[in-house]
Amino acid sequence: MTAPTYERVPATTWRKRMRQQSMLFASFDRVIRNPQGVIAIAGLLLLVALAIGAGLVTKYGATSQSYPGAARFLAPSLDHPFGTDELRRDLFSRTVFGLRSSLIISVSAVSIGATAGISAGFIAGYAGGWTERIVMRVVDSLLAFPGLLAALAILTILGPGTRNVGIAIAFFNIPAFCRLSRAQMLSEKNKDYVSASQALGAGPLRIIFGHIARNALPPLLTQVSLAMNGAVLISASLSFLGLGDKPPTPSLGGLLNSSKSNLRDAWWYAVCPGAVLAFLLLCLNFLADAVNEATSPYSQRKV
Amino acid sequence: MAWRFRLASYIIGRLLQAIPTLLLSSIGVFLVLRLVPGDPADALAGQDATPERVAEIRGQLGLDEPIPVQYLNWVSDLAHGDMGTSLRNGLPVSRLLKLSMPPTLELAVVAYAIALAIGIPLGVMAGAKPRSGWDWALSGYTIGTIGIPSFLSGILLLWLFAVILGWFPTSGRVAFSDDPVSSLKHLALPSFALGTGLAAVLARYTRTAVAQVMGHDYIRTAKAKGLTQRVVIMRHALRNSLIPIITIAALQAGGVMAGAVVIEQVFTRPGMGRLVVEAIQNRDYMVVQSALVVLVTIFVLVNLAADIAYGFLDPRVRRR
Repeated sequence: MTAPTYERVPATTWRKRMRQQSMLFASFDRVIRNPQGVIAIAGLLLLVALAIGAGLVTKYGATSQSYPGAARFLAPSLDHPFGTDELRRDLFSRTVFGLRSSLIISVSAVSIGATAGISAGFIAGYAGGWTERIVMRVVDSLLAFPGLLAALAILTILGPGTRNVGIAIAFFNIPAFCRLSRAQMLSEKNKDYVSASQALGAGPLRIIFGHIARNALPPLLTQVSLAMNGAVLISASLSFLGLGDKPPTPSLGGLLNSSKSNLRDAWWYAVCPGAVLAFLLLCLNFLADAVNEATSPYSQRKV
Repeated sequence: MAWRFRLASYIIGRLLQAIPTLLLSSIGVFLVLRLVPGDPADALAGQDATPERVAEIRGQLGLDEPIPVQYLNWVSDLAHGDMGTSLRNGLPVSRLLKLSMPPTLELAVVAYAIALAIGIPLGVMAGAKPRSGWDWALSGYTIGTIGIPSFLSGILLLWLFAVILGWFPTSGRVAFSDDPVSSLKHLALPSFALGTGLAAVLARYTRTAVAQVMGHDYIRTAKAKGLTQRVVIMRHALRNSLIPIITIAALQAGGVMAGAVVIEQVFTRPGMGRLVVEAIQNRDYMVVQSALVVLVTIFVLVNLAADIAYGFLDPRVRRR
């Protein structure tokens, strides 16, 4: 495979202009030229569409146990694509609604964690001195242990529940974003355009968020997709451990947990929700790879 | 003689550096549990407790003291081997941990060994010859495992090998000293589920490290003087790519510990997983706090061992 030849693509005048003007657009443009990126984006669009249209694509309620033809452990069929569970509920509905809640938790937790972490990292990097030292020491001590363990610690104090799982995930995303954005800030803050706006009298907040952020953010996009991957994984693990949604509310991890005691009667109970979770994680991983290749200045296309 | 002295001083230096790291991570655990809004005393007193009752509980737990004082009290108790008592059943936390650690540790160690046994050879073979069959095998393996969290592969293994084929027990744990065969049978599926997932990550990093080394001139020299591929890889390439491999392997120790906690729930093994999950459901932060410190300490010690291993492997490291 050769390097992508942008020039040969027809009708690119606006595209070229956009690429030059916006690093964000240029990165996106490179992601959709990468096969992995295309698979990831198509897969994620499909899953997000399912989650948004959950009420439209499902025939039965996610918790409904009595409807015409309800029975325990029905094998997958046209009527019940994922079969039914021990309480006669339609597993396709439960999976789709579980997917929705998993996506809502992950997107909101990563947005909050990334915003807080990036702001703290930018400010620490720009300010330097004691601010930087204190922020980075706190971040280092939080980075010392793996995300799942940190989430467990937070849930101890807040108690189990979906909202608290979201808070826990947001919280443990802060350190990684903080570290990376500080590093970005350090490499940007001595560039000429920053000195120029300082000389013109711009305030620190305006320089950080108006000027530097535009250039420092694209490389952080890889971390966003990695964090989404981690968030989906951790929220599924926590709901698997019974620390997320309370039954009968469906969640991907919770479905897998209850499938465990019914493996003898219903293989589809574990396999179908599991396949959806695995597909979601695979797409997010592909997206992280594609974004990483697109935004890293040193990367070349892997052969 | 001189290099021995340098090695010894390097090791002592590293050991001393581990002390602030451990203190820092204990501060980390402590901060996570204290920075988060929410009051253990509130949770413990129940929903309709009077403010006086909550204040009394706060006093008993020492929560009314300033945070630095609380931290010092806790650390000095820890240093004396006192981990406090469970808020729920009043048992000493150290005893609870002593009972629940062996099952988790044996699971983590075996899973880690499986991860190393699959990940490193696969990564080395793929890295030594990019675009060979081994490299494709690695890509396939990575894509096949990357989307599957260990608890999901655990459930699938449980379904296939325990429920359908009946080769392995579906749940529980037997101590190795009681019945070695049965103990290994109970351990096989959970450690395989955990180890195969970690192996993919390890193999990818190993591949990168080896592929980088293979591009160096001394590899070409070694090949040019007629050494076999095997000797080139084992003596020249592997040895020089070991440092990044050891680094990532040591960092994975954290993933093994966290993964073991979850996998235990799949196979209904008694261990730290069950202890911690039950403690969280009961908001028993004394238990969680100590369990996390133990897990983090293991993580720090494994990374310390990796640091010391650098000193043996790379003469340049101990000269610094």
